[in-house]
Amino acid sequence: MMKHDGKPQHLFDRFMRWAEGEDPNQDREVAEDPERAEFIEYLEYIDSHEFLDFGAYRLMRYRERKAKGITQPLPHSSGQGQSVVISQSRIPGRRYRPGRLRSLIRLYRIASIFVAIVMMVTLLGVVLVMPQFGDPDAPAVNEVSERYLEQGVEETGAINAVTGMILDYRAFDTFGESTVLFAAAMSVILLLRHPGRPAATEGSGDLILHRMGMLILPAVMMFGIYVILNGHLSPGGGFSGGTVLGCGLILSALILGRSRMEILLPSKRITKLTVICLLAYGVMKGYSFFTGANHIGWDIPKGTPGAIFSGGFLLPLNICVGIIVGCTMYTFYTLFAGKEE
Amino acid sequence: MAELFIQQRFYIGAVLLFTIGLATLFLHPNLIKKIIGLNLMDTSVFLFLAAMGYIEGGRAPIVTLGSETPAYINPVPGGLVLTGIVVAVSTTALFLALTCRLYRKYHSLNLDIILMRAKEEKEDHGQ
Repeated sequence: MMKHDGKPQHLFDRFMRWAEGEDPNQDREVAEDPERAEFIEYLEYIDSHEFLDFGAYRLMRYRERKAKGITQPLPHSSGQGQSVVISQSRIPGRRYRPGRLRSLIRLYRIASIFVAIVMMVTLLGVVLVMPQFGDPDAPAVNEVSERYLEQGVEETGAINAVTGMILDYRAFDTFGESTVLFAAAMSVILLLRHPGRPAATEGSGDLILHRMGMLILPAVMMFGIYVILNGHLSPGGGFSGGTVLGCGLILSALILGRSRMEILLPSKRITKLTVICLLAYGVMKGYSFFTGANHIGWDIPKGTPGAIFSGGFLLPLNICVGIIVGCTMYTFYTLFAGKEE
Repeated sequence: MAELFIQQRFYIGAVLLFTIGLATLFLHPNLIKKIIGLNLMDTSVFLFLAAMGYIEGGRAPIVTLGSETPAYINPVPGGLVLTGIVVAVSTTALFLALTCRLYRKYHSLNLDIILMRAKEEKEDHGQ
């Protein structure tokens, strides 16, 4: 496949070559063609606005066909079905009327700006009559959040109310989130992985990157692990800590290069790790929901709130989520950093 | 009126951000910029949710044990923003992967050029 640049300048050159008639079949007196003048003017318009649409495409196809001497109906003609006779060098109908496409483009822009402004005015109107920012009596601050804050410590064992909420009261929601992330990773793998292609992008031999990366990497990893493990005690948790871990993995891939990283942490192992963590999450949360809802009494000991081993399953759940997120971030990196052929 | 605008500044900021994102989504033919516009819209929703959860003088919802209970901010929007961020990351990755595929095939990021080449290809196969 020919390598094209998407820039309007190149397309312009391509059109111009068509228009200039490099094709030997084309007769040379097109120079006085008023349509051609319009065509060139239109191309200049495209060039200055960095915008291309089907008008240019149709015109290009028309030129091409004219050069080949084909007198078939034009593509995407509006259903008249009559063939275009080249000798009468009139382009039929409304489609090449001067300035029509230009006005259509302008109409599209005006319409989209109009829609955006209508949306903004509506939302602003709503926002201005909403309860005031920071109002403690706003309807959003209702018994649900009170319950989470007051009973959360006894019921979940986590002093971080957000973690208690997302990993206990709303754990199925978080399970869905992790599944969405996993599904996205799988889709990206399906879309971007080339099985035959070797892992490209060797680590750069840059000394500064290497030394500084080696210096920073342990701190990054340590911080990620800290955030994950203290998710039920302090701000953070599986998602934020997992992102930090993923960044650490990406940094190490930058330092070591992909081939060495592939030995250290093969992509198959990453996928397996993600699946295992997802399953572990489902099993643990299913267990606690099942036994909790049925009052069987096989509760997980909650421990003393505030200690690191407290909150029942919250700590392992946070670890699972952290591993899923970190692995997914790293997977995204490896797939998007793959070398273009 | 001005006081009301200052009072609701975060909501208004969220609305403006949303509008900018929407306009970017409409007006830019470049696919990457369209994705950026979508991300701007996501971010505005997160800002809106986070602002909704704030309570005047409230602290982060890390419950201090024992003593008197101070005012905490609402933890529910925090959880919702977390969900939103994860979904935004997933959709962005998916869109970028699809854009990669489109670029590999058509060597362009401009949506109009991609559509043009796709139609061109279809026609060439049709003949």
